[in-house]
Formats: sequence, C-alpha cells, structure tokens
Amino acid sequence: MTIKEFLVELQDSLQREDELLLEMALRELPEWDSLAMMSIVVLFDKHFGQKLLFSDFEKFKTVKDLVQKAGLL
Amino acid sequence: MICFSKEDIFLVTGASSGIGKEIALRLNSLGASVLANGRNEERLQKTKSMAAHPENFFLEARELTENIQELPLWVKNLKEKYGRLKGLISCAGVIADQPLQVLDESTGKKLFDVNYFAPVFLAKGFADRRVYASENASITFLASISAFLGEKAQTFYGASKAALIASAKTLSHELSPKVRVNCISPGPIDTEMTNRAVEIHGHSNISRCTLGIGNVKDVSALASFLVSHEARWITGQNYILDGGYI
Ligand SMILES: NC(=O)c1ccc[n+]([C@@H]2O[C@H](COP(=O)([O-])OP(=O)(O)OC[C@H]3O[C@@H](n4cnc5c(N)ncnc54)[C@H](OP(=O)(O)O)[C@@H]3O)[C@@H](O)[C@H]2O)c1
Repeated sequence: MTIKEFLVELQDSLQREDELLLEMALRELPEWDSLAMMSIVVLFDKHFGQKLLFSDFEKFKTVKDLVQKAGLL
Repeated sequence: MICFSKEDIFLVTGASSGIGKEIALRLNSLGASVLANGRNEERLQKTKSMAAHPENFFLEARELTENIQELPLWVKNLKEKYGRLKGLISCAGVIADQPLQVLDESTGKKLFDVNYFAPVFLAKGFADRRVYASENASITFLASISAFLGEKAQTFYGASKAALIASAKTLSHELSPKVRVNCISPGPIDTEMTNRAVEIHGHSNISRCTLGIGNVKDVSALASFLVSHEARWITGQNYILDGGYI
C-alpha cells in the first residue's frame, strides 16, 4: 500500500469529505472520536496485521504518525 | 451438593481459555469426564495439567469453523470413542469491535461461524438420539449481555449472541423432554477477551458492574448447576450473569 492509498483508506474509514494531509492533527479532525479510533484499529489489523492498543493512540498526534506506524514512511 | 460420576461425559468447547477452561476444570473436579475442545493443543494440555482427575480429562482439539457441516459427525464419533454424552457446553467464541463505518462482511461471517453456526451444528450432533445420555442430557450455550445492550461497535458480536439465544429457545422446544437447552449471558468477566478489550480501548465497562468484574468461577458455578440434576426442570432459559450491570 502506498501512502496515498493509505490516506484514501483512512479518509474513507473516517467518512471524511476532504482529503487528509500528513501534518493534520488528529484531535482537531471533526471526525475524531472513539468510533474513529476503533475504526483505525480495524484498519491496521486488516491491512497490516497490527494490533493497535490504547497506549498507541496516546502517542499518535498527526496523520503522519499513523502513516509511520503503518510502516509506510 | 452437585456431583457427577465419570460416566457423566461433557463436551466443553473453548476449554483452552477463560470461561470454558474453568467450566471444564470444575466439572472434572466434581467427578465428571470432560472432552475438552479448543484449537491450541498446548493451551489444552495446560488446562489438563490443572485437572483434578486428569485420567477423566480428554483433549479433542479441532478448529470448529473448518467444516461446520461435519460437526455433527465429529460429535457422533466422540460418542463412539467415549460413550454417550451427558452435556454439551459451548463456550468457544470470538469478539470483533467494528463500528459501522468499517464494518466488514468477511469478519462478520467468520464471527457468525464461530459464535453461531458452530454451536448450532454441535447441538445438532449432540441432540442425535444415538449420542446423548438417557438421563438429564443438556446443552448450555455461552451467549453474552451484548445481545441486549447495543454497545457501540458490537453490531456483529451482539447479533451473533442474540441469534444463539433465539435458536436455543427453539431447540429447547424441539428437544424437550429429552434434552434441556439453556444459555448463560455473562457481563464482563476477567478473562483474556476482557483484558484485550481494556488494552485496546484503554477502559472497559467493568465499572458498570455494581458487584465489580466477574470471575470465571462465577460462570462455572452457574454452568455446573445448569447441567446438574438440580436443574432438571429448567430449559429454554437465558441466565443473565452480569454483576448488577447498569
Ligand atoms: N469474557 C467475557 O467477559 C465474556 C462476556 C460475555 C460472554 N462471553 C462469552 O463466553 C465465551 C468464552 O469467553 P472467554 O472470555 O473465555 O474467551 P477466551 O478466553 O478468548 O477463549 C475463547 C475460547 O474459544 C476458543 N475458540 C475460538 N475460536 C475457535 C474456533 N474457531 N474453533 C475452536 N475453538 C475456538 C479458543 O480456543 P483456542 O485458544 O484453543 O483457539 C478459546 O478456548 C465466549 O463465547 C464469549 O463470547 C465472554
């Protein structure tokens, strides 16, 4: 998966109209809530076989952090 | 006092972990023979090493979703190998947290295979007249309070357990008076399943149990009662065991 594909997938999981940019702060996204976090857990499990934990989310600040966690950067 | 003899043979699925493991160990300690199922041989061996009567504790590893249609035949073969079965206690189950926005069909189908179709086809095998014991035979399904709560992200899990509860009621009517069929619906119990949820979400619904988190022994106590002679007049019920969940 390329970074671009990941961002599209992420945008879709968050059901977001606008494109996501790497520097965007996750907590400032209007779509960011507990269901969004759960959706990202599902996304990582499905595409990267990674089991994200709550402690990971405490470290995620920007979209870029998610891309890095996915191993795409 | 509830006690069993080694001629009372129980097939317990999910016996390699959590609730199923505790139920298998308790029935065995009360004198029963147990056929313990799980996928992971190593974990099953570990359960057996804790058994009070290991000579009456038998390991029958199998992936329950591999060939669901064949499960009745598997149960029948177990009867040929060990003798008539007194009870089926279906504890194997999986959970999947999926909000609607990422709901995935294949996950849902797999979840239903483990939580719904496999238990029903095991029941089909057990309820064959040539398989179950003549005295007080019973089927007990582990469901969940998620069937009723409508918790977020539990679209599939809750539905799979609700489906199981509904089918258990039907089976209780079809199989009366030969086989009793009941469900146990626990709230949060201190097992790997719950611990994983805490790790993922950083919190859990444990604080909602007015009596605190449940222990596997709280579930095995009810299960051993339900499969005993003391419960001979109980069928078609779903017991909510939730520590006063609010
Ligand atoms: N823990 C709770 O708070 C809670 C609350 C309500 C209801 N429940 C229900 O109670 C039951 C037991 O839960 P638990 O907490 O004890 O779960 P657990 O510790 O995660 O154990 C699950 C068991 O199911 C077995 N299993 C899973 N998929 C299987 C498959 N495809 N084929 C064969 N075996 C399979 C596992 O065997 P292997 O490890 O060998 O694969 C394991 O023994 C489940 O049905 C669950 O839905 C639990």
